[in-house]
Amino acid sequence: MKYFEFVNKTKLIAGKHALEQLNYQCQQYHMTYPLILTDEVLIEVNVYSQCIKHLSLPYITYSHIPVDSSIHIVQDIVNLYKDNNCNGIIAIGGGSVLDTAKGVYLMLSQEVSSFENIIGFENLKKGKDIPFFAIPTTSGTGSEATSVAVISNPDKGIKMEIISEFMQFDVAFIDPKTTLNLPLKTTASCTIDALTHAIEAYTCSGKNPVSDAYAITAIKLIVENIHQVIHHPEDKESRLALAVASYNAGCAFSNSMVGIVHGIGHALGAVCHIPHGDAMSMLLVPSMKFNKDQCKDLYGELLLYIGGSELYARTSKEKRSDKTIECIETLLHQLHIITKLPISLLSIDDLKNYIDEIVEKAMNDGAMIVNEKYVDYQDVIDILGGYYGY
Amino acid sequence: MKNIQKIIIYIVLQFLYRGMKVLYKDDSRVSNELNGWSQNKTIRLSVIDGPSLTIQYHYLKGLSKVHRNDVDIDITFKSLSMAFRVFTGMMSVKQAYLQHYFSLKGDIYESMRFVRCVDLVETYLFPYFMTKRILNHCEKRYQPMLIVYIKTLFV
Ligand SMILES: [Fe+2]
Repeated sequence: MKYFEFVNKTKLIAGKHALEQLNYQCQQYHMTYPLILTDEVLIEVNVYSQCIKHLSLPYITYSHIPVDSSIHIVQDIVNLYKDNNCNGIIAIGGGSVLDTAKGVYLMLSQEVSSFENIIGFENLKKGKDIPFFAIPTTSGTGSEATSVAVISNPDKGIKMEIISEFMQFDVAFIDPKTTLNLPLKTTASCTIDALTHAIEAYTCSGKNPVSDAYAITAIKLIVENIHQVIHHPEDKESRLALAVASYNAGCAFSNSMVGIVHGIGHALGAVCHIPHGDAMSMLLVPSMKFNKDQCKDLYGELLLYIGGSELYARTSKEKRSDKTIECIETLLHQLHIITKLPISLLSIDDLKNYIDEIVEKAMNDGAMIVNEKYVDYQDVIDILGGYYGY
Repeated sequence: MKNIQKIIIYIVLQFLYRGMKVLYKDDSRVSNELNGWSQNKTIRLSVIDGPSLTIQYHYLKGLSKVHRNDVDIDITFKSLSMAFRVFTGMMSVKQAYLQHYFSLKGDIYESMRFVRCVDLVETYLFPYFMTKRILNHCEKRYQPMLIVYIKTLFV
C-alpha cells in the first residue's frame, strides 16, 4: 500500500431535522455572536430564513457574496467580523459562499493582514480557534468537507488557491430543507460535479483506501437517488441522500485530489464563464475515454456501483470499463433531456477560439499532475477538439 | 549520515539550477515554460534543517542564483530524508507531492511551470532507467546528456 494521509475533522450533522441542532451546537462551541455569510438568492428563496429561524442568539449577516467571490469581499467580511467583535462564522450557501467563508476564517485564525500571505499548499500552521460552521445548499461542491478554497484576485486576474487542513469546518449541517427548492438543472449539474469528484478520487494517483470508501459511498448514493430527485424534486429522503453523497465525494477528493476533468474544467469555466458542474458534465465522458487505457481496471470496478450488480456480473472483465462509461453517458443524456443540462462541448459558442487559452490555464492546474495518465498540451487540445467525442 | 545527505542534496540542487540555466538557452520547452510567467519570479527550494537554493528568473533573460527572503514561490521539504529521495532520483516531484513531502507558499498554479521544468531537467541529468521508473512519461532529450552535463559544469 502506498503512503497516504487522510484528514476530516468536521462533525457531520445530517438528517431531516439537522438544522434544529444549530442553536445547541452554537452553544457547545461558545458561539454567542456569529457572523452569518450567505448570498442574496438564498435570502430570496427563503433558504436563509429556514436556517436562521433555529437561532436564538444575536447575529449579523453578510449576504453580498457573488458567484465568483474575490479577495476584496473576503477582506470586507474580515473587517465586518472584527468591527462587530463576532466570535464565530456560519456559512450558508454553495461553493462560492463556503470558499469565501474559508478565506475569511483563515485570515482571522492565521491573523494575517493580506490574503497573499496564506496562499499555498500545506504551508499554514494551526491557527487561532474560531467556531466555524457550514450549511451547504447545493449538494455538489462538497466544500463543507474539503481542505481547499479558491478565491479570485481581480486585480491580477488570477485565482488564488489554498490547500490546508486548518480551514476545515467544525460542524457541517446537511438538511434536505436547504436543497429542496434547488432548480432541476442546477441539481443535475451539481450532482454530476459530485459524481466527478468521486470518480476522479477513485481513479487519480492520490487514491487511497480511505478516500476510496468515501468515493464509493458517494457514487452509490448518487446512482440510487438522482432519478428519484429529478422526477420527484420534493422527495426529502432522496434530496438528503444526494447532499450526503456530495459530502462524501468532497471528503474523498480532498484527500486523494482530482484529475484531468477538473484540470480542464476549471480552465473551461474560467475562460468560457460556464458553471463548474456544466463543465464537468461536458468533460467527464471524453476525459474518461482519454484515461481509459491507464484506468481500465478501476473504471471496470466502478461498474458495480454505477451499473449495479447484475450488469457488473454479466459483463466480462474486459468490457466493464466501456460499460461504466456507457452508463455515465446514458445518465448524462437522461439529465440533458429532462433538465436541459448541457453535456456537450459543442454547446459552447466559438469554443475553438478559446482553446489555446483553456489549454494554457488547464496545464497549470494542480489536478493535472495527479491524473494517473500523463497529460500534455496536445492531449488537452485533443479532448477539447472532440477527438474523444463530444 | 545526515551530513552526507545534506552534502548530496546541496550538490544536486546546484546541478538542478545549472541544468535549468543551460536548458533555458538550449531547450525551448524550458524557456517557453518559464517565459509563460510573463514577469520576474523568485523560487526557493529548501529543506528543513538542510540546504536551500534560491533561483531568480529574469523575464526573457534566464536564471541566476540569489540570496533573499521575500520569494514568490517557497517550496520546503518536510525532512532531510524526504528531500534526499527526491533529489537523488528515487522519487518524482509528482510522487513527492502525492506523499506530502513538501509544503508550498505562493501561487500553486504558477508553480506548475517550475515542476514541469524540474521534470525536464531530470530527464537530462538522470539516466533513462531512473526517469522511466519515477516519471509516468519520458520527455525527449533535444541534446545528448553528456553535452548538457559538460555545459552545467562550466555555466
Ligand atoms: Fe468539482
